[in-house]
Amino acid sequence: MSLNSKAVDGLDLEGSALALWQEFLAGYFDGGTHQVGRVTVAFPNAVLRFQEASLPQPMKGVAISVVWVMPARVERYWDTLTAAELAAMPEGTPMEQERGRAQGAFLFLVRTVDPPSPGSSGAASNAQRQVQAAAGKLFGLLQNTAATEPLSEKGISKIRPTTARMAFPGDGAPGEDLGYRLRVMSCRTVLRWAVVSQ
Amino acid sequence: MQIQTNLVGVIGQVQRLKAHVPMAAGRALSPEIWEPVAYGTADRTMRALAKPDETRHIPLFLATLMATVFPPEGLSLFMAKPGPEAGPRLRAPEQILGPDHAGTAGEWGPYMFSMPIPEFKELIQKWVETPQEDGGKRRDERDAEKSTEEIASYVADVLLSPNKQAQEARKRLLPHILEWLKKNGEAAGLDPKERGAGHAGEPGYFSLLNADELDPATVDLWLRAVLEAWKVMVLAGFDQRFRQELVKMREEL
Repeated sequence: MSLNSKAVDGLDLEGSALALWQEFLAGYFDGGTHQVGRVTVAFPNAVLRFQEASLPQPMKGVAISVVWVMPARVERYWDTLTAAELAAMPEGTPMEQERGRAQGAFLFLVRTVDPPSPGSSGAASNAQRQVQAAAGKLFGLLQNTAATEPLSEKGISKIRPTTARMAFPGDGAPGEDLGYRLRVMSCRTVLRWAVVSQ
Repeated sequence: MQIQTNLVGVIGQVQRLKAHVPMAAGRALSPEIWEPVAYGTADRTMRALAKPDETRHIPLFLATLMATVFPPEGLSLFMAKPGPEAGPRLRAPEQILGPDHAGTAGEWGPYMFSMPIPEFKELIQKWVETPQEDGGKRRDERDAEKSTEEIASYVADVLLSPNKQAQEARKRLLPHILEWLKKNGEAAGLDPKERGAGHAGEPGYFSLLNADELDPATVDLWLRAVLEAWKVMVLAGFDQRFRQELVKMREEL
């Protein structure tokens, strides 16, 4: 898989990083089967949302919302651009460029809604299975270095996901059924970009 | 051949580090740095979860957000369901000082215990600015090199912190603040009746804002998600900030 979105860009850090996630996740969570490492995995089709965007209502199926946790601070250092980076730069851009680097994090909110079929017992029982499967596949995908290599090439590297937490119900949460299931997964990353203004 | 040791020097360096590393950690966890980041993270997380008709509740949750020092060098981040139980986090005087103090704060107790955090911080600032002979804060050696703003910020943090040590300090501070409020509150431009705040547990500022209740499961869900987001926020950002503070410290040494 290769990504067409532009690399992480210091002039549009938030937008460029989220566009990369959008393209990357849409490439897997499309209801088809994909290679993750050496394994073929069937992915669900998921509605993708970013930052504050609400999910379409009424929702049905799987949805993944990605929330960016802003980097604490940005470090800068000098480095040599890769050939691919240089090719994307205006002509005459020096090979030696100052880079920006930030330790960032992303929050993945995986939700499913699956109303029980008439007469079946247990509210949203399929939603529970679906959210478990979707969150598990997302975790597996993000921890696979080969699969995330395209993100790394574009400046989102050192992707370290945590296993998804069950935010509701469970963990002592109120037992009231909101009609959907949620898993919260966080992921630490390092963002890198070239500071082209130098 | 002469062999010399610089062990004394190394020990000296280590002694300095022992004193300065916690200081660097404290600076890296400064509430002033983390509060805006925590605010933005909580806002985006709740908006991502909220249905369109639920987003109006989000500012009320954010109004309860507090970043305070977790003594001695830690950071405490707090957010709660908006409502009477969120506003009066300082709790009624009798809950802190014991049953003998029930009602001793008069109308100033409810005023103080139900005010929003920014106003509460302003109140503490006024108390710290008041000369000691007029009921203001008594300065001790810990205050010697601090500005009035720094002292006020620390006192407010201690009063707001859920930490056990801070709660002990709160017990000592609170009677003085309430005494000052009773004597000087109105002269300082404060009016306990203006908000019509109730006693802890009764309708107050937050409950007036929060006419519509979200269902408890949604509240729980939002708070859990924000907690997870804050955790990753601190994990991702602390080491970088700490490193930066250590570099600064090395330059200072």
